Formats: sequence, C-alpha cells, structure tokens
Amino acid sequence: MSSPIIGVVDYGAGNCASVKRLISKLGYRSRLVSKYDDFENISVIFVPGVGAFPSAMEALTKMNLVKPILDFANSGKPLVGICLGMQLLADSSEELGFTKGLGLIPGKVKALSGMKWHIGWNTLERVGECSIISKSEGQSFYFNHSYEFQALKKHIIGVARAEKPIVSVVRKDNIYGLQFHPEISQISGFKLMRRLLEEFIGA
Amino acid sequence: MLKKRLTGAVTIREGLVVQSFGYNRYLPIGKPKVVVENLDRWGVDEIFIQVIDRSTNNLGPDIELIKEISKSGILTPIMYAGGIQNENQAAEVIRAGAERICVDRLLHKNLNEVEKITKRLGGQAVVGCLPVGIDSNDLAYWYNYQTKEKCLINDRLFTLIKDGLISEILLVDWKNEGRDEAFDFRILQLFEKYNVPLILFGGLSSATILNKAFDVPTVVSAVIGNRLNYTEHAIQTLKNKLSSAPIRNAYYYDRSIFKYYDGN
Repeated sequence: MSSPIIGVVDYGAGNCASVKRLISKLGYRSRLVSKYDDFENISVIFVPGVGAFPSAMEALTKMNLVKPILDFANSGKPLVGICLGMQLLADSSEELGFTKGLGLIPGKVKALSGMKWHIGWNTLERVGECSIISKSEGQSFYFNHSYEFQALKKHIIGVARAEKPIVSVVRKDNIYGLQFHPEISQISGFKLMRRLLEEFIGA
Repeated sequence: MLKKRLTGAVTIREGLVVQSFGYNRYLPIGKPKVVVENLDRWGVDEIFIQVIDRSTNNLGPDIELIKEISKSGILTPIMYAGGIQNENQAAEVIRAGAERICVDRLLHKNLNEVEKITKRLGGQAVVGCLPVGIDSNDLAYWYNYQTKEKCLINDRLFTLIKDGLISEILLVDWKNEGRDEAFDFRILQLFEKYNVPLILFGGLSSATILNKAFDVPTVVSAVIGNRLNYTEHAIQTLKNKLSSAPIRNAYYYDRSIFKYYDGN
C-alpha cells in the first residue's frame, strides 16, 4: 500500500510552502492542491491562509476549489484550516463587507472585540475535549489576525487570552480550525502538527 | 497572554548579511541562510529580513532569497522588507514564505498601493516602516532615505494606521542604528497621541534598554541586529535577563529533529 498523501490547498493567498515543508519534515508525503484532479488519493487536507477573507474566497471560487473542498470534508476525511484558512470554514465573514464562507463549521467571522490586532505569541488554553490539543495546552503559538471565528461553544476547543478570550481552535467532527500558525510556531507547532497527523493517519 | 516580541534583524546588501551602522557603513557577516537558521534555532520570536539595496536599484523584492530561506525549513515567522512596490509583489513575498511585509518607500510614494496590498493580504500582514530622527529643536521627524530629507507624516498615513490598513509601525532610530544602548526614546513622541502598536529598532542591544522599551505599553516588539551576531545563543541570554517583560520563555531547539526532511 502506498503511503498517504497530505494535501495543502494552494489558492494563491496563503503561505502554503511553509505548511508543506513542515509536513515533509514530519516524514509525510505532501502535495499542493490547486485543481480538482489534485484531490485524488489525498488523505488529509490543510487549508492555509494569509490574507483578507473576501479575496481568499474569491480565489477559491475562481479556481473552482470550493466544491472539491466541500466534497472532501463531507467524505469524512480530516480537513484542517490554518489562520485565515480556519476562518474560511465559517458561514460568513464581516471583513471588508459581508462574504459567504465555506459553511463547514457554524459561525461568523467578526472583528476582534476589545483589541484591533492579535499579533505575536500567545498561550493556548484548552476549553473543550480534544486529546490532540490538550497536550499543547500552556504552550505558545504564533498568531497574526484581526478577525476571529465566533463559533458555537460546542465547537470551540481552544482559546488564547488577551483582552478577552480569543477562539483559537475549533472542531466539528473531522474538520479542525487553528487560528494560529503551527508551521511557524517553532517546536510547539512542530509537535502539534505531528500529533494531528499521527491521529489522522498513524505514525 | 499575548507576549512582547524579541525580533532578530538580518540586514542584507549585495546578497550578504551585513552589520549596518546608521545605514551608511557596512561590515559583511555571511550568508543569509546561515544567519537566519541560527536565529531560528535560538528561538527568536520573529525574524526581520531587510534587503536594503532592492528599492534603491528598483529590483523588486528578493523572492529567490525568501524561497531559499523558507526552503531551509525555518519555523519562525518572517517579516520581509525591501523592494516591494505593488500588491502583486507583496503577495509573491507572502507566497514565497514570509508571514508579513514591511513597506517604507511606498509610504512616501503611493499610499493607494498600500491600501491595495491590505485589501489583498489583510492589515495584519502589513507593517509600515518609518525611519525617525530628532532635529535640533528636539522634535521627532520622519526621514526619507531616498531623498535624504526630513518630512512630515501626512494625515492620510495616520488615517491608514487608524483604520487598520497597517497593523504595526516599525520605528527606526536611523541615526543610532548599529550603536549600543543608543535608542532615542524621544522619537516615540511622533505616535504618543495614537494607540498604535510599535516595533522599535536601532540602538537596542542590552537588557536594560530592552526592558525600558518593553515598559512602553504600545511597544509590542524590539528589533535587534548586530548584537545577535557576536555571541552564540544571544537570544536566550537576553531573554533570561528580561524577566520582568512579558515575553516568551527562552529556548533552543535542535534542528536534527527534522530527520525526515529532504529539503523539498
């Protein structure tokens, strides 16, 4: 049996190179995914993101990636959104006006309240049950955002404390969202990614 | 709790890392990839790569450099400055492996383009770099490297900052850059009326002056350049002396953990 392939969605709006390299460092095969055919034989999908919500959704739509992402998620295979990629999982965003999201995890993306930016290293605090995230509790991760995913309480797994708690990890079944960047969070990000991949496809 | 950041600066000129003194005298250090890998291993919070001859020579950003550095497997956020003149170049820098971009010349030349960059990348990815000095009347001024002139910060730039099109301001004490313990805190007067997150750079080297910088509520990061090139594990040494500042703990990681990584 061939080894599993981890897909990283490349829609021109994210730092997908760093995510792909971290996956390689962990010893897994990876592939950039930018068209329908690329989804074939993919075991896990990462949706990275650096950018504004509307332009990212526009890029996904223009590249005909919305339907294959939804199909992949609905197939039950693991999907992980990172930073903006996590926000894209929501129903909609208010960033630069109203934009519809992928609708994979219920919730809306709104401007942070009590602060304009959440940039830098912050400590992750677990608030829901998740064996993968619980081992990262108390560790610092790198955040860089000004909008947050306001999800239902039952889907919130982790928060970071600033002026107010900021939703940092969401999960609904096989779909995960990480507001921080594990790919540039040094050793804590490395270990979290290793746990995620081991959980999804085994060591 | 959100931590304040200790950022390592890597100044590059003609393809080599240099020690810079007031941006007019340079000493070669070595290859960018090696210097960046060291900062990454030593657990610096962020790496600021500034390629100082890209704008002057209209070369655009050094995409190949960012790709080479990213390819080496850096696990630290990178902020890049040098040669960015439009939104496509800014997006290309992010795609190559940087997390944030820093603009200087564009703030003088084309604020519309800065707005376009933000609409595409989000304000969190955009940092405005302002070299600042103190004149003979003890007043802070914004310095234009290109024209070598003092200039005023216009209302539109303040509006961009206030409206969140630029997330943080990198205030460079350009006269004291490269000097020990020389950062002139009077330059903060330019932004004292505004609740703008500030990154300070230039003449910050010892724990004493860094603690003073981190005591300023709006200061979110301090950038250190030359000092980091003198000693091994300079980051941990400094962080251990910054016990009163809310910063991430000092640590070191061994890059051999990446035993599977084949460089692709």
